[in-house]
Amino acid sequence: MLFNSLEFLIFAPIALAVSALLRGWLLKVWLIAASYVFYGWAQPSFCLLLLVSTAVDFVAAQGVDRFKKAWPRRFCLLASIATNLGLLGYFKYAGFFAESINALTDAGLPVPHILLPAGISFYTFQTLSYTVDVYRGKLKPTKNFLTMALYVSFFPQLVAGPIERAGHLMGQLDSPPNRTQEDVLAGITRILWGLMKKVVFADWLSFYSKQILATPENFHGWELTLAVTCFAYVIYLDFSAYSDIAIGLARCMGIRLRENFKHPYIARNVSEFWRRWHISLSEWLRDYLYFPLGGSRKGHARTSLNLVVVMFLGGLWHGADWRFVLWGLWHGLGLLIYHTWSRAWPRLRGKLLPRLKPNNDRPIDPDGFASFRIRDVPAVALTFAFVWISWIPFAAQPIIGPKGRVEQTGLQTAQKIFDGIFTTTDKGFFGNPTGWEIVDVLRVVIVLTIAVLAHYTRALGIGRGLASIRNPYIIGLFWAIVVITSVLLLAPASDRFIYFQF
Amino acid sequence: MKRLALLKAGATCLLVLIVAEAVAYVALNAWIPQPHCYQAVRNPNARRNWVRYTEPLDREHDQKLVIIISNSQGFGREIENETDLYTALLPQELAARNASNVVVANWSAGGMGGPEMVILAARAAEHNPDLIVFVSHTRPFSRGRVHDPISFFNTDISELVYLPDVRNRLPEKFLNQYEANDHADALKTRLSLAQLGTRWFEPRGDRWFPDIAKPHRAAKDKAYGTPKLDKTGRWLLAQTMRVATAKRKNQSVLWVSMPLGKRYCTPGGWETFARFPDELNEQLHKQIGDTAQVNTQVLDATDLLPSNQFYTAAHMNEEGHAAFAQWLAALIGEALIAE
Repeated sequence: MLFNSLEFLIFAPIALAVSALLRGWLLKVWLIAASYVFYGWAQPSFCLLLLVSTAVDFVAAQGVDRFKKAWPRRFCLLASIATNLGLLGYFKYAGFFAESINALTDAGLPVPHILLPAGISFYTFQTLSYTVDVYRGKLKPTKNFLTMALYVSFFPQLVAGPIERAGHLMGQLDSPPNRTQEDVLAGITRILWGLMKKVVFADWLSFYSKQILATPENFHGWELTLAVTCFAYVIYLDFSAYSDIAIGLARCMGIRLRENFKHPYIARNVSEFWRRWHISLSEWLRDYLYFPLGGSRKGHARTSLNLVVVMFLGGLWHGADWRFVLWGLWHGLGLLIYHTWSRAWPRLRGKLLPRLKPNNDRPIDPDGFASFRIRDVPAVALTFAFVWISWIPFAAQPIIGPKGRVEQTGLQTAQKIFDGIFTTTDKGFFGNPTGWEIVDVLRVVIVLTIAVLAHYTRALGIGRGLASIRNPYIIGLFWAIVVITSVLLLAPASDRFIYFQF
Repeated sequence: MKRLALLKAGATCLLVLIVAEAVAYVALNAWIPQPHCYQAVRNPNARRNWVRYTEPLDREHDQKLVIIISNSQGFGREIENETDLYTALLPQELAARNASNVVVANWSAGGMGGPEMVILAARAAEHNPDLIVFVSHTRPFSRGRVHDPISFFNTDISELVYLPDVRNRLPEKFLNQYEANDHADALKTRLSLAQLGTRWFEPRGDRWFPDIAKPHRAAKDKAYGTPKLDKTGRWLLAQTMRVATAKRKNQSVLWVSMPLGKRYCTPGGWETFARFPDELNEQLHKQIGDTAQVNTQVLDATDLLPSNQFYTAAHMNEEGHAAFAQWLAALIGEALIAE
């Protein structure tokens, strides 16, 4: 079930209204039932996978806690890892690996075409983190299967995150806090805000960028540049909108989910970018992959390798396609360069520019705001340019012909986009708009400019006082303006959320 | 904040929304001029003007209505002066053949495919025209075209499919196959605010074919072809025929296999194009037991015009349009006078 669908518009108020009336185990049962209905709406059989993951991790965590000797504890942990990664590996990567092996070796392996269950990348990571945290002694396992089932299936964040941690969410689900009017108002506002970001800005910009980037050889370089820039905001707005709606829905029930985005394009370096972008995933990768590999504790060379490996896997997590791997490796490279630079720069600065004050990394404001400094502008621009390049393979779609045959891989499309922007092609960089009127291009530029300005003004905390307005008439007027704007600017084709494909 | 605050906020929101919808309704119906699908020579809908193919023509007692549904050829690609289009010349040619007082509505749009023709056929039927003329060839119904979604961005035909009087005529299989179940699109047809947004904010790309000729006229010899019809294409042909006569069983329908410039077609493509009238007749005969098709006729104009009356394989020049108008008028005139 999609958030921007009629079914959900009917489902959500009913789920929330009934949840307001229930308490204790009845509330849990209701929310679990609602979550399974939500998840199984398109494909009921996938609920079985959810149940399997829940049951295995529930039992495994009990085993980890109960057994005192190392090997039974490790066995339970491995069972959890094997189940979750096994499910993920089979449904998401079996076909990809078979195709890749065939391409490299002509082995002629049968390529399975398996329907990918929505959200499997998210909930398997979430349940896995629970078992690992119990193994590490960070928390005690829950003995209540209903709590466990709800933790895994909680519908606001089930299919596209934020990837929660048991230590943060399970307690709230076990004993839901009393919701207040403030929670409901804040929740509804957050939901509407997310819907507007998705339906107005993301879908609108996507309408343009998708068509351009699907056949890049037909467009001038400037059009491709504009399309990639649009995509950079499409993916941010689309994904952050989903998180907004998820957070808003949970807030309406008095439950606080973690923030997943903190104005990522204000980042001054790649490391900061990953502390602002898809925070729940980057922290998961840090805690359950990077740190176990040694983190930064084993010397520069090993740290660099760890960064690249983590981002390689992070890229692969996004999709069974080499273009996502390329995207991940690019960011790995960026982190590697930044890590090397941040070690070398203090020494260089001391020798070359002794009078220059250190520009230490500041911790990110809990709300993600950043103070404006002129000297940050080049770093912000450079970081955005770096991330912008990484969106090229991410946005490049493969072309699938009749009978499912791949006529052009995503990497090949990415190559064409890259060539169109950075090299000399038949179309050239400049020229009249291809198939669009100037006024249509101007519309896109205006919508993009609004999105960019909104992002940076919010990132700089401008207008944060608006969030503290309590006058119900003004709040109601704000909601109405959001709805009117959304309806006026309904994109020609409203896409499902991008991250559903992961 | 007290419970009452939530109600106040909700009530304010609802009130503002109702007022906004009312203002949009008045604006659309009273203040903003809407293009008229009977008065415009080129289909105004083709630039996403949200025509909705206006209400059925309020006809004088002897006024006849002919609705032409075609593609970029009928729309007039390559022709700068719209009065040179065959659709514009047709009323005069008809008048010269004693079929006067005929309104010819040109509902052609560039890139018109099989799915769009089915939808427009349903809408045309609602207008109770004296004659519906489909001028087409294999390509809109070929396997290369019929598996695409409805081409929403060059016309608003995809939103037309949500109008009740159109939707009721279309089979469920069609709606599912072409994903005509999008709630956002359905919302656009019901809310004046959404329609206003469509008029003002949706892109009007000329990616498929421009309304004003930016003639490229760069036709290459033996370059234009088409994939053959497949099962879906034949099914769409049948649906177009069925839907056009769904409202009135004795609705007069003319299928014309459109003129093409042979020189510009590949040999294989020409062979496929030339078979189109046979495909039409085959579908017609399959429905021959259905009395709804008694007034449907198939005409073959594929090889009607010499290649020098074309700018490109499918786009006639001014001379070609005039010749086609004369040919069509002779056949239509007879049909209209006979009624």
